[in-house]
This record gives sequence, structure tokens and C-alpha cells, in this order.
Amino acid sequence: MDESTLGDSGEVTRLLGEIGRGQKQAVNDLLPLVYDELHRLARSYFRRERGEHTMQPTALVHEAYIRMVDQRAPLESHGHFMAVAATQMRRVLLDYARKHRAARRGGDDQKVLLEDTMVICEQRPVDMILLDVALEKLAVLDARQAQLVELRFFAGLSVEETAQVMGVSPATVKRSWSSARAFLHREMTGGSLDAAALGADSSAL
Amino acid sequence: MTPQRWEQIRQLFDGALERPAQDRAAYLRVLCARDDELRREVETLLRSSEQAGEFLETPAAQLSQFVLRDPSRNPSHDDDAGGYPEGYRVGPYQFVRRIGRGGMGAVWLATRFDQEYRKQVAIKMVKRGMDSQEILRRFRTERQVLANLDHPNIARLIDGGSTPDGLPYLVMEYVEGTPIDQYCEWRRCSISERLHLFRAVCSAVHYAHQNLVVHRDIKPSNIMVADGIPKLLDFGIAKLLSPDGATLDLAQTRPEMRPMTLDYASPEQVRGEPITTATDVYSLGVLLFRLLTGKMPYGAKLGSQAAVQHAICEQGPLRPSSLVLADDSTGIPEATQKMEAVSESRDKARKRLRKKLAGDLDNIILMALRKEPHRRYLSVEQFSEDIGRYLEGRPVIARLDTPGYQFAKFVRRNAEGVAAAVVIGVALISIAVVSHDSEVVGAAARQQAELALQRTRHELVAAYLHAGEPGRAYAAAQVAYSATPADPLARRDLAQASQALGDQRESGGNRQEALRLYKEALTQYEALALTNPHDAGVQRDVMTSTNTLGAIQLEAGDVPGALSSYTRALQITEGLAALEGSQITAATRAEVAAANRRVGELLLRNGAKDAGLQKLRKALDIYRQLGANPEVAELTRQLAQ
Repeated sequence: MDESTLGDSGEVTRLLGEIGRGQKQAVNDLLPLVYDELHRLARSYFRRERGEHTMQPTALVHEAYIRMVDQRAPLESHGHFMAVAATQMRRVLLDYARKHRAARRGGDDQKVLLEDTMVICEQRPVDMILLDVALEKLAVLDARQAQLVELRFFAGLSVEETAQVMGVSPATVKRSWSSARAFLHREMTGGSLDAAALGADSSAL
Repeated sequence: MTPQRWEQIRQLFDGALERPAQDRAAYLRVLCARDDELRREVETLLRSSEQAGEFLETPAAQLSQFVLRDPSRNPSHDDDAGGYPEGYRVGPYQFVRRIGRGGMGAVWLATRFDQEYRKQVAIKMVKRGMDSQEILRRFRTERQVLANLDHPNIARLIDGGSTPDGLPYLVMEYVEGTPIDQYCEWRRCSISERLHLFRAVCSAVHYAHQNLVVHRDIKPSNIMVADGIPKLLDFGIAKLLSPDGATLDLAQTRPEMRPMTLDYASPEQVRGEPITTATDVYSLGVLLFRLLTGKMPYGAKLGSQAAVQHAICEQGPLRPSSLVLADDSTGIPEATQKMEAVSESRDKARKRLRKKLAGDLDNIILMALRKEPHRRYLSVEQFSEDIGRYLEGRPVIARLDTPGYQFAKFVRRNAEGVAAAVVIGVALISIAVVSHDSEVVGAAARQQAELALQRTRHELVAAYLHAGEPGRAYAAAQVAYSATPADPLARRDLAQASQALGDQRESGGNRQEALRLYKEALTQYEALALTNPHDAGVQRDVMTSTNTLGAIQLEAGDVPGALSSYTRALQITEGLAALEGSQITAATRAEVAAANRRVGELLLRNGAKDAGLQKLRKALDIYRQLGANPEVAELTRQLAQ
């Protein structure tokens, strides 16, 4: 807790309260605070001696919540915080991906470059930069669906938790999730209609 | 693509997914009529959905991939998904596959290899990177809790230990089952089968309570049914009770780091109030509601989390029986029997189920779901026994809330809206009592009605006071008091209402009226004190009331009156100090000092110099002992003059 931001917990909690009362500006005020904290946590985590450890974004988001929010804050603050944190976790990961691609540029061949933008998931790696592009497309079509992906994938919330944060039923989350996932997968594998028309192999990853 | 177009594609996609794969082509052909491009969009999306596999299903993992690949660092190939690879071994256990995942950890299916002895177990691990003090503490609690629990309906703790890198793990009995709600649905269990399963869960929870453990997270996903036997899992956020029933670490009331499953949470959990065994009674009530109706108690369309919280704390639950006819999707055979056959018989079947639920089962569930913990079943055992009585066709103890209670609840919720209803309300209930009277009913029933009436009157006064309507509270209290002058509650209500109305009159400038009301309050408090000489609370009321009266007499220029009030207050305060004896609190000592000071100052003003100085010196002594520096300074200056 050396350079802790615990002193801000009052401020963060206040902003969450304002978000709860529908004041949109509070989201903008909160975004950089959460971003900084997530970054700081990630850095400080790996500066400690346990270099062999892995750190999950989900864990970072939860830790940020514990550190930044007054634990007596009303329960709904948790939802507001998660929504903001999910967006910012996406940015943190994207930044890392971009930075490491830049660091590798020159010398190394393209394959390595690609690998460096991956986040490893259970089954297979996901390219953060491609995902970001696809997510931006989705956000234009349906911002709520993009937010849903952030909550599920970047903040690691379950279907039920996501439903609570977004104020919809779990059934809606599930439905919305499957079309969003299909859309992103199609975009990222070049399987969209435009690409298909050009004869791209839609099964390639 | 435009948002409108996407919306269109999405809807077709959702619709297609709901249909069996072989019907989708026809479905799309019909709905996309001449729009081939639309059809191709949906088709490619469906294909992507099939190919996507686990794509994005696991949250973004392993930030270290980036950080560790920093050129300045050694590359690392530690690349499993924030957990442990298949085949990983801890002690004699070898991981097979992951079977569960939470925010803090994961559960693995593992095999124990011991020469010829092979056994499947579930191993609960803390995730790497999640080993904060808080989580480790919780893990230790769970281990401690489970070590003491040995019950056929609770998943057993087999072993525990730490990995080479120091992360704790628990080895549990592996329950290869189905969550209880799905189990009932898939097996199409009858009502009585569901009730029997539920009672088995109750026996596990009751057993835990006897071992001073409150589960706090009872929900279907934590109750697995295997071979017809339900097993309670996941004591991850359980609480240890001290033997007197209070939770041990009340100070630690911060919300859980993983978002609480609100659906099964009790009002006291939502409000962050102390957790007792009654909390589990409530969650079991929600569970039973769900098992018998397939629905949640507050309806499905609540929207935001705040709305759910509000419903849990304020809204009365739906009557389980009322849901049976409202919706088709109850997976209970009684409700859907012969559904495919004739629609008439389906309706009949559902009416039959509704009849079954209406009455005793409704009452049993609603009793468990009461907002106030102390008004629920006293224990899980009592809850379960009541279901047993229902199954055997004997009378159950669960009763609907009395009309008086419900009326009072209504008034409390709508305090401001019932302005004119004080008299009308009480009159109505009086009529009810009278009509009770005129029928040939037993004395017991009449007495019960009287009690309900008395309680309702009290609730009315409390509701008006709460709503900041002292005038109406006073009127209601007078009615109540004249009806039952012997009832101490009525007396106290009148005292409180008088005091509150006095405050209002005083701040409105009507000093005479305020004086009269304060005196009336004091009279009632003193009468109460007379009958409860050892009740410190009552004595304190008298003290406050007397002091208030003294202050307003002083303001009105009635020095002798004020002196007599303050002197009386001093006596009472000293009596209070004596009641507390050696346990006397600093607050009470400060009261004694203040009372001495008030009397001393008035005596001085009245010319009784010696007596006045004596009181002031006494006050100064006490303030000195208490280290109350401003008072000490001020009194020292006063005494020097």
C-alpha cells in the first residue's frame, strides 16, 4: 500500500454516487482515475519479486475496486464501478499490446509481432488489436452490446453479474452475448460478408 | 451496415438460434423473403457462432504475457490460464480439468493417486494473483468451517494444503450433480418430490447453524443434486456465529468483493445489517419459491440492481400461487401435465397446482420471506417441520400477516398520504373489533383482535412521527391513550408525540402551547418511570424531558420554575449515575456535570451564592476528571468572578 490511492476512495465513491444519480459528467471524471489505478496496479504488481506470477485483468479490476471505493458505499456503486473499470481494462490491455508491438518492431519478424498483441485465454489466444477494431465496429452498431463484451470479457463478470450491472435480465444478456460474440468472431476471422465475397477463408483464425 | 440493419440481423439471428439447426434454413428463407443479402448476413453470423467455440468465453487473462515479454525481462513460458495446467499435481492429486470458476479462484476436478486407491475429488484453488490477505483469510475461514461439518447433505472437506508456491487449496468431495432448480426441471419432479429435496437442504443448513455457521449464499448453483441427494456447496462466504447468535466479526461488514447474488439476498444483507441464521431462512424461502413456481419472488422485470434492492427491502413478495396461472413456463408436471394433449386439461392441471400452492404453501413461503428477520421462522428446523406438517396434511404454523399488521405496514409506507386516515383508520378497526365481538367468537380471538388494534394504533403514531407530522401523531396518540390508558406503549406514544409537537410549537413561537405539551410529556414519562424505576431508558426520557421543560421555562423568564425543573433533572441524572454504578459511562458523568452546572448557575442568579458555587465546583471536578478542557476553562473563569 506504499503509493496507495486509498486517500481517493472518498472522491471515487462520490463520483460513483453521482453516476448513480444520473450525472453523466461523473463518468468522464472517473475514467482517468480508474485507468491510472489499473495501470499502476499492473506495474507495481510485476515490480514485486514474483515475476513468475500471472495477473488476470479480472483480478486487477476487483483489486482496483477494493482499493478505490469506500467499502461502505452502496451496493449499486459496485455496478457503476465495474462498467467504468471494464472499459478501462480494455484500454490498458490495448495499450500494452500496442506498446509491445512497438517495442518489438525492427529486427523481429512479423509472427512475433502478432503474438505480442495476444491475450491468452483458456483455449486460444485473442489478438487485442484486432478485437479492438471489431469492438469499435460493434459499438457503432450497438453500443450496449459493446459494453456487454467489455463487462464479460474484460471485467470477467458472469452473465448474472453483467445483467445486474446493465439492468437487464440474464436471458437478455445471454442472447445479446451470442450475437455479439458471433459478430466479433466473424469480423476477426475475416468471415464478414464483404470478406466472404472476396473469397476469404472464413474458417481461418 | 447501419444500426437498424444490425438490429434486424440480430433479431433473425436470435430467432434462428432458438430453433433446431435443421429448421433454420427454412426459417430464414421465409423471413428474409427477397432479401438475399440479409439472409447471407444471418447465415455467416450463425456459422461464426458455431465456429467461435470458447472464443471470449473466458475473461481476458494473463496480463503477464505482455509485461513479461518486455525486452528488458526474461521471457517466460508460464502461460497457463491464470491457473494450473491439466496434469498439474499438488500432493497426491492430479488435476483433470477445471469444473468451476469464480472471481477469486477455480475448482478443479482431480484424481488422487495412491497405489491402488483412485478417487475423484474437487480441488478449490485460489487463483494466482488473487492471493490477497482478504482472500486468504476467507479461504482459511472456509476451511475451518468445513472441517467441523459432517453431514450427508454437505459436500465434505477431505483435505487441505498449500501449493509449492504457497497458495492454499481445499480438497472436497466431488459432487457430479445438477443444480437443484435444473434438476427439478429436467426430472420434472412433482411438488412433493421438490419439497422432500428442499427439506434435505434444510437439514444441511440447520446442521450448519447448530455448528454456528451461517452459509449466507444459499442459491441453486450452490446446491448440487446427485443420485437424488442434494449437497450444499461453497461455504466461501460463510460466517461463524458466536454462541449467542451474533456474527463474530460484525465490524467486517464490507460488501463482498464478488458482487453479491442479489436474487437470493435478504433485506438485511442488502442493507449491510447483521447477519443471523434468519438470513439463511430467507434465502431458503426464495429457493423454495423458485422450486415451486420457477419464478423469483419479486417478479422478473425489475431492471436495475437498485430496483432489485428496493424490491427486496420494501416490496412484498408475490404470492406463489398467483404465478401459476400467470405464466406457462413452470416446469412442474402438475402445471403442465398433458400439455401437448388437450389445452383444456392443461388449464385444469394448472388450476390444480394453483390450488395446491394457495393456502398453506403460500403462507409457509411468505413467512420465510418476511422482511424483518425476527418475524420469520425461528429456525430452519421450524421452517422444514412446517413443510413436513403440510406434507402430512396437518395444520401448519405459518399464518398470513394479521390485517392489523398489514395495515400498519401500509401506513408506515404511506405515512404522508394517510393524513385524514388516523381517525377513520382507527374507527374502521374498532368496527372490526366490535363486529368480531358481536359474532360468537372466543375470548381469545377477541383478545387477539384487541392486541392487533393496539399495535396498529402504536404503528400509526410511529408512522406519523416518522413522517414529521407531530400534530397528527399527537391526535392519534390521544385516541390510543384514551382507549387503553393502562398500556405503557400508549403512554409512551403520547409522551413522544407531545414532546415532538411541543418542539414544533416552540419553534413556531407558540411558547404557551409548547410549555403545556412539554408538561404533558413529562407527566407521562414520570408515570412510566414510576412503574419502571430501574429502567435506565425511561429515566433518561424523564431527564431529557425535564431539561427541555427547564430550558423553555428559563426562556420564558420563569426562573423559579426552571430552577425546580433543573433540580429535578439533577436528581434523576444522579439516580441514573447510581443505576450505572461502577459501570458509569463518560457520557453519564458529563450529564451529571452539566446538570450540576445548570442548577449552580440558576442558584447564583437567584442569589443563593454558596449553594450555587458548590454545584459549580462539583461540575468542575467532574469535567476535570473527564479532561473536558473547554468546560474546565469556562467554569474556572466563572468561579473566579
